[in-house]
Amino acid sequence: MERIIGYRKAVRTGIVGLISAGVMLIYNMGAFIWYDLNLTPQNMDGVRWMTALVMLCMLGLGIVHLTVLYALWRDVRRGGGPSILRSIAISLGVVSAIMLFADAAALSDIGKQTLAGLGSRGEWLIVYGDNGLRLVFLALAGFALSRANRRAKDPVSGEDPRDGEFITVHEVGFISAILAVGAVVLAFMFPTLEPYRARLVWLFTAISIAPWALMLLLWFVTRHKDAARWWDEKQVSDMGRAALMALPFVGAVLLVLFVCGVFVPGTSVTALWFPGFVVAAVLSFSGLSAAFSRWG
Amino acid sequence: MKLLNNVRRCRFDAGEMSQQELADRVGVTRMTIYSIEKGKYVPSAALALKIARVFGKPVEEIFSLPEEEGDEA
Repeated sequence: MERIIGYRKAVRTGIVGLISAGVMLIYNMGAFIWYDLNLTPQNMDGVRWMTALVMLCMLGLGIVHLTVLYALWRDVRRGGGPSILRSIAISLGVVSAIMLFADAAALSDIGKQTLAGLGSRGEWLIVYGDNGLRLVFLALAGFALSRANRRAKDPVSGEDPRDGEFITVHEVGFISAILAVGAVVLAFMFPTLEPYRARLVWLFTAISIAPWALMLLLWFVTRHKDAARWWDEKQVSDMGRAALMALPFVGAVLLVLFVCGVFVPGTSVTALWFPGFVVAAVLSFSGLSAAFSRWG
Repeated sequence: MKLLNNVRRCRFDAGEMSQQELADRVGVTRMTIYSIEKGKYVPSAALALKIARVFGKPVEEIFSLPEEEGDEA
């Protein structure tokens, strides 16, 4: 009973957090658009309170991210069953929480560049992109938590948490890897990023893979103590099949990188091969493990 | 390899035992029981014996090879 009350409390706290996050995000987006259109070296002093409130909202958003992610994980552990929307919300939530630091750095650069009379198009792209990501996270988390709230009212309902945990961790891995591929493609789309590309590829991959790494850690830490074994035999069989099929896929990706490195001059293969290996392995292994567990 | 089973019928005969209850009693997840019933997953010998023990029946009454495969064996 105590567990159920804790679960309800976590879900309700998450929902309250989501509502307050919505308000803070709208305020910040409004402030960013105003800054983008009107900020000059002359009026910078006059917007100090507004800037302080933006920073406070970013701090609040950071706390809400943690609260909502905790509520989503509690839903998995309480037997909410696997849900691809929840997995996408978790992946985007972790990435957008980390990107709050990137936002703070970009805003600081925008301030300095405005004072120096320079434009900040690239920084604004980061800020708008991150907040767009945050908006999608809040919308998906809102949907997932409203379903969790309905389930929380029924104390006996629920799927086997071990199925939910297993599939969620692997789905988050698959989505994280897709995010990493998207981020690396972005790094190659802008020619101005050429000098920093190698470092950016590493950074983007690390940030994108972070949700999977975090979920894996959380899963290991909070695993059910009463479970006789870590995985049940079908899950082991699913992972075995997934590993067998992931092997040629990873090999093919590394072969492409190798061929590019040898025959295509100017390809940053030295920077790409390890992130490429990690992303290909997580993408294929986690994606197939989740698919086999769900439908295989 | 295909393995026929009547786990669903056995659950029905055992007072509509739920998949989750059977899963808990044999120490696997509900999805494993679901996959066994659907014939998508072939359980290990140990799991098949555990399932048989829950229903109090010999394992060959619950699991069987399809006719052709049985003949080949």
